[in-house]
Amino acid sequence: MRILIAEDQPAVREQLAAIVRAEAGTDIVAACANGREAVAQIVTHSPDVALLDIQMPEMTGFEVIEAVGADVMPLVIFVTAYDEHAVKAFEVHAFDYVLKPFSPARIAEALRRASRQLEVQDRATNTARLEALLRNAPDAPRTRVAVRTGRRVVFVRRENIDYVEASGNYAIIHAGGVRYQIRQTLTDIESSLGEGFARIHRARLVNLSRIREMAMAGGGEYDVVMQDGQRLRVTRLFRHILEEKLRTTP
Amino acid sequence: MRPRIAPYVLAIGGAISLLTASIATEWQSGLSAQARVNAFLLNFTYWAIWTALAPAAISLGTRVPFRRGRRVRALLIHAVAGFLFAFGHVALLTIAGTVLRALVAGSRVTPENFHFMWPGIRTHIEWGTTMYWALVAVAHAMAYREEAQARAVRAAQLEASLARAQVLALQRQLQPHFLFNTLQTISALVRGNPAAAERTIEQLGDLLRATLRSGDRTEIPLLQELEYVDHYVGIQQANLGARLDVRKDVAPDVLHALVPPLLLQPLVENAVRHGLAPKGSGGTITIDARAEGERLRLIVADDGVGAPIEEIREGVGLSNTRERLDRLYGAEHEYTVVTRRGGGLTVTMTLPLQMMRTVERRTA
Repeated sequence: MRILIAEDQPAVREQLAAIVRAEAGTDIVAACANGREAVAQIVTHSPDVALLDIQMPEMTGFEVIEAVGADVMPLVIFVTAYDEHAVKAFEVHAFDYVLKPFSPARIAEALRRASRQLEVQDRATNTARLEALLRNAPDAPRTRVAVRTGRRVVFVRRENIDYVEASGNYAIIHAGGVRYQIRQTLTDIESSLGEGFARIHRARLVNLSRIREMAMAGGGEYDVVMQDGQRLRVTRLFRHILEEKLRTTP
Repeated sequence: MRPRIAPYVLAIGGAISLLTASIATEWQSGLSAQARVNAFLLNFTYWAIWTALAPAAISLGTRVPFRRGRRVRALLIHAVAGFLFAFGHVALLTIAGTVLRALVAGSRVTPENFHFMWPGIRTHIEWGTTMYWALVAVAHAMAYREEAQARAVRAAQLEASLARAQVLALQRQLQPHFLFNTLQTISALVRGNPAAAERTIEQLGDLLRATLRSGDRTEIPLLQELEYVDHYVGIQQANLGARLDVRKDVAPDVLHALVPPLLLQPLVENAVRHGLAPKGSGGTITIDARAEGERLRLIVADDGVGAPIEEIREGVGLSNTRERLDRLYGAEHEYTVVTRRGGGLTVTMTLPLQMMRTVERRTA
């Protein structure tokens, strides 16, 4: 069983490594001190299991999952100090989570459970579970979205997003003329961005504060004109919802 | 009048009616069987009519209470109502009595048989009015009791919400994240570095004690606050494993100046968590304290990554500090946050300079 550790407290990281090493049949592929490192190492090594701390400086455990993509994430054992709200989400959606302070025995037990789980679990189950967890993550609505290109992570701030487009199982974020591809469905990203965004099309989610005006497009059709002058067609079905949201959003 | 009172009125009224009618009949000896039945019926009817009128009287009593400022109005209304009730009672009694007597005697009810009780009318009205006022009193007692219960419920609710607020405040102060992370660090140090584990436990203990006592005292000497800062930095150093330098430039004459407890520690915490921890490599926090005339100037600066100013303003640690200074000193304080280009945050505060008295200093 190939294991990755992501934990910002060095003493605790070392403690986790010692516990893992003491378990037979385990192999530590990486011990990371922050989220960015974790993303790079998960992508490089594709470990079987990740011991993932939630509160790390710069990048949270949730953002690590978001950046890597739930569909390529290993089985995750969350490690967390305290977060009432997150714990509720873990109880429902996580495969396992360990609260600090933990004993070596608790981690060892989680590792053994993970080993049994790996024999029976398919990837789809793991993906679905992590996606559900991201949807119910306590920091929604997000202030930013973690996007990975290769092994690197960039953050796109919510207010800088122009619109998001669905593209199969992916979504493409358009922000200031730059396109970022993320491994999330449009529905998932819609729910994590929260209010201030509205669909104008089955496959297009637009930032309301980036709309300059609505313009007639002939034949009873409408376009939204973005601040940079780009025109996006509004599907009839979504027009009323959009107008309602534009009216009520300050 | 609420429906749930009706059964009680009926039961009590019924009991009184039966009892008084029986007693009245027994008292009058030497009556014929016919007269006994008549006496019983008349007495029973007397009270039965009051039983029927009671809900209306109680209802009126509840609706027109003797409230401050409306007492004269209530008095007038009840005086008139009392007379009407008493008179109505006599009228009803006349009708009922006549009908009953006729029924018992097997005679017919004719207009001539109605003998309105003019002879005893004054006594009747007096009794009736008294009865009415008694019912109004009952209504007031019931309303008062209900109000007292509602007040008790409200008081209990208020107390519960206050207790909740206190728990929340304490929770915020204790900072569960910090606490649990530190416990885990201690757990990690126990085997490999017992001395460091012991030191961290001691520092955590001191800091917890300071947090728990901070509600009791409004001000402590700067010297003590600086100790809390040292404890906090010591613990975070163990947690983060990074080098955290604290440079203190404190004028000796302000070491005994009074400051609110946990004034500097949250600012240092802010600097560590948002400024230095994200750097990974640690950094330096500078604390500067000196007197400027009648004022104490405190500066907490770090060389961390900094943050957009709007995020800093919203930060919990900083806004808490700001609120407390507002409460304690009002316009007597200044508070500014400055971000340096290329990172780093500087918080400057000036407060009225108050020295701890020498007597307190010796006992402290």
